[in-house]
Amino acid sequence: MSTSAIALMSVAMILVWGGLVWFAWNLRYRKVPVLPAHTEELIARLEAEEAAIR
Amino acid sequence: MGKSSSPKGVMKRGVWSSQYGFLLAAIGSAIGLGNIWRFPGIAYKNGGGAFLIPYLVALVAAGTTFLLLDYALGHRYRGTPPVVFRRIHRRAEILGWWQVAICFVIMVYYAVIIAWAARYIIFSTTTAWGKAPDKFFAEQFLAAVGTETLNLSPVWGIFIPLAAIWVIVLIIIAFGVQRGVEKANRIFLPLLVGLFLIMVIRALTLPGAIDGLNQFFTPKWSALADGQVWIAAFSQIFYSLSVAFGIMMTYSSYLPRKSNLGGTGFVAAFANSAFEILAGIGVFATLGFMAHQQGVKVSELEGITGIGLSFITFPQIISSMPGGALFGVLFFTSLVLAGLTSLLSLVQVVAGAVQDKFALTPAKSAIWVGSISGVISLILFASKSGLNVLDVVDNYINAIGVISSAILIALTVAIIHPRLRVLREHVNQVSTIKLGKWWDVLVGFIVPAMLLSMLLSTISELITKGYGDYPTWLTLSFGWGVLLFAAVGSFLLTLAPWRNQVDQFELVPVTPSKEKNK
Repeated sequence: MSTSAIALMSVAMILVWGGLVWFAWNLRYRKVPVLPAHTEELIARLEAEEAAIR
Repeated sequence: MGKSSSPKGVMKRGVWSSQYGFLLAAIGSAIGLGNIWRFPGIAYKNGGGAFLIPYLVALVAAGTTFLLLDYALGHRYRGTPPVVFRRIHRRAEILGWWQVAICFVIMVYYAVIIAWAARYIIFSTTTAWGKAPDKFFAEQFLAAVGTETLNLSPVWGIFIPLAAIWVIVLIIIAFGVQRGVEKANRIFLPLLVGLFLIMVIRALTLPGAIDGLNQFFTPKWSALADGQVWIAAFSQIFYSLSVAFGIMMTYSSYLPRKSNLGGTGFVAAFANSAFEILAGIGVFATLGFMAHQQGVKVSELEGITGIGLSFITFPQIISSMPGGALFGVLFFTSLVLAGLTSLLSLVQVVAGAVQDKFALTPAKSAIWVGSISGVISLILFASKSGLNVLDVVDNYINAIGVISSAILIALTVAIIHPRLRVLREHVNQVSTIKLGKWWDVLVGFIVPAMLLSMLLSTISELITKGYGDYPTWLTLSFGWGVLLFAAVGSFLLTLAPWRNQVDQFELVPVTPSKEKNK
């Protein structure tokens, strides 16, 4: 393989597969923001209503 | 049994069992036939390795941004596209049905390609195509007629597997979001990745594989100055990620309200591209082997993309490869699995929208949608004219239908009924990855402006030159005619009365980032 082909292949793999690993790690380990209490209460109520008819 | 809304007006809807279940379904939807047969050829024809630069720019600038717009709309307004746009404004409902109509049209022909691939799994075991896979495919298998006539005589070798595909898909949809679509994706997606990895590893061990990779990745830098290459990259990302079809909107509406939208969006987008790069490696390693066998250069090979690649070039390679039968089974099974997970998402949009509007159960909605689409699919695409009709419908619905849908979504939420700020804050308040005001500019103005220029040039070309060598009556009936059918269908479905209390809806308030930081 030519040097430029190896370079492009490596860059593409590092960016795309590296990006995938980074975002997957981020999704798994970073904490999601805490919502204000009134929003949490509203969400709990709405989801309870939906669960009741499911 | 039939009604699916509570007396208080809460719509009875499915829900994913977890964020992981949603993610698998979203990735399964994005990874489709196009990842395997479209991306490698498009990349190669548009600058090889150099194509990866506009491709990565498009992934970040258009792919992830529009994907998150779809996620935000479905998640905030809790419904399939007609529900979402109705809740934005009553008059915008038709835009939702336009997306449903696009999914309907795509799913009726997409299913037949899966049926072909399913038959080819069996053909692979005996290399039934013999020494002339092109003649076998067109004459024996499809029994294809010329473009001058419309012949709807059934081809039973396609009719039967196609009917089976519809039965399988509708059973899965009838089980609902969690027990049907999610469970199927939990099985199909890991299986697809596993089988495809084995195929790629085998391809890399073939003589000539490195020459194939060299052709695929060697950059032609001059391509970067060509506007068409950039358009090809943006189109590839757009079609590949299934944005603006209403699929991701529908899928995200089944997510619990506290779900990490930004995180899942970026993982789904990058997983789709990771699979595309893998497919490029696998396909070009295999093409390298073919060129080596024939004693020609990879650049001299023909049929390196689309239906030709899968059903003519690959069978030819399988015949000349040691252990080709197993390789063929792996390749065509991967096509079937990639196609099935995408088909499920298309059907879910249509079945989900019918369910939301007419207050049906998932099973009843699947039966209604499945009966109509299955019959159309069998009549048109399991026929001797199936290939011609498929090619025309596919070109018009994607190049005009999907792109116009994306532009209309952006126009609606950026200008007519401005919602971009609130959608951005909606994503940010539940996500680990934050969107800035740059997102509003990209999805509201820059990407739609690019898409509009693409759309205008496509329309002008189709009007002046037509499509391929097809006669005008065929493009008028199955190209423009299908678009007209989708538009009229959208209008009529908008007029139909809601059986669910769609307008009784409580929005979760958004908390601007600055306020939250105090």
